[in-house]
Amino acid sequence: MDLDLLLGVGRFLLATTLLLLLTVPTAFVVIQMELKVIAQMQLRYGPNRIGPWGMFQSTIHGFKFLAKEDHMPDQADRTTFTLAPWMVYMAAAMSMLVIPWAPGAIAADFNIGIVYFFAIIGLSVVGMLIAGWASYNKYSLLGGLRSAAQMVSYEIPLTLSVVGVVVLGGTLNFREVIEWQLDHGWMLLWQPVGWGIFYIASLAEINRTPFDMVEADSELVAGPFTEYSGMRFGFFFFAEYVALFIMSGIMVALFFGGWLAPWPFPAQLEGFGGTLYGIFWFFLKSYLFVFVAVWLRATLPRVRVDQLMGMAWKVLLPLAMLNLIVTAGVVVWLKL
Amino acid sequence: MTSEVRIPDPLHPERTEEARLRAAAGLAPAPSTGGEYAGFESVGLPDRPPQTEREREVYTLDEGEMLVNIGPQHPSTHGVMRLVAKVRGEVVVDIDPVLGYLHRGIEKLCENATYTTVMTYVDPMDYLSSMHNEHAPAIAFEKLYGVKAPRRAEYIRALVVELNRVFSHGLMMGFQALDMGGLTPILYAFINRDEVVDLLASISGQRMLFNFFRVGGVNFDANDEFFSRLGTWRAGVLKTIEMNERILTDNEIFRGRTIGMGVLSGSEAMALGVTGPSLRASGVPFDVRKAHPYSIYSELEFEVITHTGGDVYARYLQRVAEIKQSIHLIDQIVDKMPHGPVQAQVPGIIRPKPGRAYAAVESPRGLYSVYAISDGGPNPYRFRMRDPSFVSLQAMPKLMPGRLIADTMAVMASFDPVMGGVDK
Amino acid sequence: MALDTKGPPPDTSPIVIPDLAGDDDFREFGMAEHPRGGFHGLLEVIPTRADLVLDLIRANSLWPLLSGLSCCAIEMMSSATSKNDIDRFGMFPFRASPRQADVLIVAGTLTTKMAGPLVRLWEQMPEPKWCVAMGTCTTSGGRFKRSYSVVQGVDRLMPVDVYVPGCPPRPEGLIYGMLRLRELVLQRRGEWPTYVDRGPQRSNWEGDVT
Repeated sequence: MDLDLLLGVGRFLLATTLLLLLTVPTAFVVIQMELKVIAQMQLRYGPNRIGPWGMFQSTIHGFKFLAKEDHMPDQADRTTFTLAPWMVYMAAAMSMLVIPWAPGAIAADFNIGIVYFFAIIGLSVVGMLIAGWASYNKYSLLGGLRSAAQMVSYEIPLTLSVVGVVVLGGTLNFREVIEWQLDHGWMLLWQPVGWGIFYIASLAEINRTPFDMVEADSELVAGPFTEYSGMRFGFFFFAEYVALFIMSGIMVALFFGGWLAPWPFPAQLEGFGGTLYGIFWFFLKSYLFVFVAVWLRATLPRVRVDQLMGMAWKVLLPLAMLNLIVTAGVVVWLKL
Repeated sequence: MTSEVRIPDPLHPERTEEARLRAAAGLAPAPSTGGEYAGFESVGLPDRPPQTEREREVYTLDEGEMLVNIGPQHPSTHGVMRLVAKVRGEVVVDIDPVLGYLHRGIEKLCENATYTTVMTYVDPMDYLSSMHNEHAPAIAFEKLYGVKAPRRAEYIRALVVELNRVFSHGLMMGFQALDMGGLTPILYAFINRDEVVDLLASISGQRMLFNFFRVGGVNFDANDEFFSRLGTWRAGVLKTIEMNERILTDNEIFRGRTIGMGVLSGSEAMALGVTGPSLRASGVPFDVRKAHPYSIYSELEFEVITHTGGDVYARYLQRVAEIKQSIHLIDQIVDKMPHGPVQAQVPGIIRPKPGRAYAAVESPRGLYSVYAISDGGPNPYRFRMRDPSFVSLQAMPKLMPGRLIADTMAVMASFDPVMGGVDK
Repeated sequence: MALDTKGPPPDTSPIVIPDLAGDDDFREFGMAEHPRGGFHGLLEVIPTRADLVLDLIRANSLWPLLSGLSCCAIEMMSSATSKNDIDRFGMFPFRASPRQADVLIVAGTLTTKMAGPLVRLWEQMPEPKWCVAMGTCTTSGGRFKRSYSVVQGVDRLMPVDVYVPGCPPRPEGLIYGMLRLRELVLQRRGEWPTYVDRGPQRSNWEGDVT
């Protein structure tokens, strides 16, 4: 057998296994941030018994799902009910494949990374929808339909806002987008409107406050997850927070220079140290935006369904179109 | 090794009274209805005539409609109420509040209790305004028995009642936000509430269900510790209220969801019997404290606050304004507080002369009144309470059709119903 | 009507239980039989301290159900707020859905009309689960002991692990009760069923909106 092929397969298996394993600690860290940051904003201590400063509380919450009964409603559609958590979780885990952690540290550095990412992250809507349908529960059904409407609507401005970046950078590869930003400065300076649309749409895409219509605690008890218990619910729970991290990471890669350090520091270094340096800056920026999302959750109430949809179709979509046309026009006119 | 446990189903056709009688008499089972009601097996209805009101409603559903059961256990029904909503997608077509999940028989218990112990039973009725719950019976029984509370007792009553109003309205701000998805305001509201409740505990000895009022006075005199803690609380209360205001009042999302939502005009509100802040938010200047002054309210300076919107946002602003008004009243009461006894000479078991008495107070939710009839015995012959949240809930079926499910929670929270009072 | 005293002769033939679950295989394998019938579950068979670890995890992540019945519900919420922060012990995320909750805090007077829905909530919660009766109304009926419509203690309907007296208990009281529940979880190590066969599920309940 060809050695190169074997090496390639081995490398792929290693990378996917590592990334799959990485989702769990990522979820734990993000959940812990949510617990502690919201607690501090509400003038509480938050969990402080497990580990130093209570930092392992989210791990305990996570492992508890393993020790709970895995319950399935009698009239649930058994196949889809089992399948739904996996679809949502795998959508989050698979999209980790193209995240540019650092120079040389990308699991799959292929030339249509951006297309792949938006294709895969959109899969989670299918999981939510069939979770809502399979549960045989009216709240689940309403939540599932809400998730379908919301995610499909927001995917359009989300993708259109990125097309501006693609036109400017002239590439669909995350690594090349970041290298373009090394020469021209962060994409935020070139695409401020695009970034605004992307941020709002990404919050809606991953169901974060103020757009958490899907798991609306005070309206639909827990949305499509109402009937899920044990580890099945755990998968939804993890996927939600992993998606939050991934969206922040992708936004950092597209608009905030990815692994590139901000101005007073050297933008990137060479060798293995450079990889660690890049990973450090990437994580710092990503978790900054995770923090902002948690901050929003502690502050804002939830918007209503019609306001949510109206914003997507009447405000964000025309704005994203306009942004794209202006960007394309400028690029053609100046022959950038 | 499985054991099969069958839970008896009261609705199973074999288990109806007729079927059991037939089985006992050795007759054949009743003939089936001939498929008249067939076709609803998928929603759990067997082929038989409808046996409950809800089942009958299922047969009348139009294409695309469904019934959603909001409650009795739901995060935002403010206790154990059930709203049966007929929805078409997300749009509410009709809404039907089902009450009685917290019916504790308080009126009957009060009729079997002596006049003094009635206070313990009315306490948990509207559990966010226990002081008001006790105030109305205390006035009514004093009218019945012909005794007057000392002036200091009246001042202490007005003081604790206004303190109670402050934390009740403060909690409403928090619940309004919580039902719309905001997590933090309720915690800020509880900071204020815990301080007030501890303050009231220092005068009454109980933290939530105070049992503080007596026929002809109050249980304890306000001591120095109480006034010292009151001063501390007064110094910081506006800050905690403002913390919530800053999150909510000018919040674009909050305004977008509440302005123009659930508009109740003044005439509609009066026709429905809605009272209290919800009525005043519709522009009707009716306040029991002004219209029919009781206790010492005729001696205090205050104006009836009104708002004109009549929507959820106006009801929210009305509460915020009334918190500040109550704090203003508290300042006046503390300034004018006279010295003297706090309890008139009243025997342990009172036997008023036969007669009837009515007393109304302005509770945080509206006009709360009590009607007591005495037959000369040690306990009331008839004791009836009018609870304002029960009346406010009647506005829900009027306001909701055509709105979304999410608005149900916002509108209900704006009336601030307390199920303990609704179901008694 | 005279009773039919003769009747058919009693069936003395030995009862043959078909080995549907493959019990004999378990016996050959050497798995111990559980005193309540059946065999020890997988988690109980693993000859390590898995129970210890699992119970440590369970004890430190007790999620209460967001279900308040009346007055005590306000004090239950107060125990989760800034001043008495029950989140310190990992008990905060009040779940709205019973499927994701561990502890049912029965907070407030339980009336006969609410008894059915509450039992249903309890049955919907997945194992292992615990119940805390908060307030005197739920322990004994309390001040509504003489009422015609109040259930005289929630332990008539479901097993109660911890009783928290008071009318209503202070938030500190509830936190103390929850910490006692935590000790209880650790003491009864390995006794929690991870799966309970509840038989065929009931699909229709009286008064259901379908």
